[in-house]
Amino acid sequence: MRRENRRQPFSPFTKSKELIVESLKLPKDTMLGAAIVTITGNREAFIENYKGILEYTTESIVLQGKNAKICFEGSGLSIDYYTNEDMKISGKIDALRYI
Amino acid sequence: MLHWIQYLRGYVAIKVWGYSVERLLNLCGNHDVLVWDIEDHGDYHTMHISIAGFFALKPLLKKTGTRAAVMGKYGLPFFVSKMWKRKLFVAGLFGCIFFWCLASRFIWDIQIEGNFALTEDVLMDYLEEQGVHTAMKKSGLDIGALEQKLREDYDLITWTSVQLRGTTLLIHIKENDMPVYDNRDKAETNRGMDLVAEKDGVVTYIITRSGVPLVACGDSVEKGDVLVSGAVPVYNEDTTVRRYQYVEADADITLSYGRNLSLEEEVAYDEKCYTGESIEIPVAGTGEKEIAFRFRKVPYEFYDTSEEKKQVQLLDHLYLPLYYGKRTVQEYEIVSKTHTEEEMKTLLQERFRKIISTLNEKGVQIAEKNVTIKKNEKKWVLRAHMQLEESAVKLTPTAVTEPVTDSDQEQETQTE
Repeated sequence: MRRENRRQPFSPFTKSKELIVESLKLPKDTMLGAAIVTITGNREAFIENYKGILEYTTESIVLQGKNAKICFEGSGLSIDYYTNEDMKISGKIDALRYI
Repeated sequence: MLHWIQYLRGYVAIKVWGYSVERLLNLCGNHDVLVWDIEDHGDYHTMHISIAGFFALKPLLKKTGTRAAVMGKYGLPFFVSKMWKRKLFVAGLFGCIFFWCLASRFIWDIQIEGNFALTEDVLMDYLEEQGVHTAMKKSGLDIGALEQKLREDYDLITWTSVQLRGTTLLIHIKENDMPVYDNRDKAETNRGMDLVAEKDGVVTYIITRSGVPLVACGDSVEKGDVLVSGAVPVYNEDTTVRRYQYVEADADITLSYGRNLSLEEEVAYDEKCYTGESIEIPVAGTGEKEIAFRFRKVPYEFYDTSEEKKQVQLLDHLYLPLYYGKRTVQEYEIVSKTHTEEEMKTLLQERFRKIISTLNEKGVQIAEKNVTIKKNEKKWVLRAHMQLEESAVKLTPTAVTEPVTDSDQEQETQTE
């Protein structure tokens, strides 16, 4: 139990917050800061609500979300544009992993 | 749309390399520095950044330990500043557009089609009279009125169509294929025409078709004498003239007269011998003033100058008052020579033949000729006496003195 608790970064407070948001049907991205990833085929990805860029090469782009890192893997990846809130990635996307 | 906004605001392509490009990107995002089209090239990243963003980038670069270099500048602000350095070029561009707008408001060419009997020169002169000419304002042209005026002033023209196509005025006309009889001249001839001698001479031949002959074969006449009168008398029963009927006198008349001729030719003569030396000088200028592009003097004592000039032409009918061409200066020497007898003979005969042929062209026949050549040490003289025959007559209006005598006679008859 302890180990599991350590692994989970969520505090009991966040868990209750999640519960409230869930029951009140509030938008999760604004309330919980969850990232929204929209992928069109395997050539385009649109990410909202991310926190920052951790790694940027043609093979992988790693973004920091609030609760998890989002890792795009593929080839010829590039950032078309990005602002504080959203970002567009294009290139051949092979995998999307949450670390 | 986005591209247009980016273009209007201007952007810079930069190359970024160093310790942590990702951190720089995050900082850019946090500082609201707009960055797009980020590409990874292994050692470095390239990206596009707004102009304002580029200036805000400096502290961020320092913070993240990265370096940036400008690779290219794009957009309207850069274009304008580039053009600002070429003020004259931009001014020329706008000047050109302005000139074209201005020039397209004028007529630069007039084309006439469908004219056979009326020559283009005649019509052009007529148009000039009407105030229609090249380089006139389009707005000053009343097409309908011009069409009507053309039809009114020329009986020959039966149909007109005037068109403005661009800066060209197209005038289509159709001419009447049927012959047009001009009645105005006829009216004048109703007053009667006399045939009058144009030269002194002897009448050798006369056949009258209309009018009253006043001379007979063998009569001597002087210049200005009436040969055939256009006033045909109508007699009363007592052979007095009742009145005159006026006709156009028509007759075949030949006058004979003598003419003396003397031609001189000197034996010694100077001949121009071209040495073959020549200089070509380019010239340019307006109609009156000219500039020859040679500043040294022509090194010949005797020379002939000939010029070949062309006028600057803009369009088919639009010439500028500018000429260009070349002036050729050819050197010659004067060599004194003497003609041989044979040459003298042919020279004089050639001159005489030319005179005769011009007489023949005028319709003068030579009835007799008597040619003598006098030879001398210095010159030869050809004397000729010719008897020429020519129908040297012309039509002149009949003098209208008759009505007075007419009425006098009538009065006389009445008093009697």
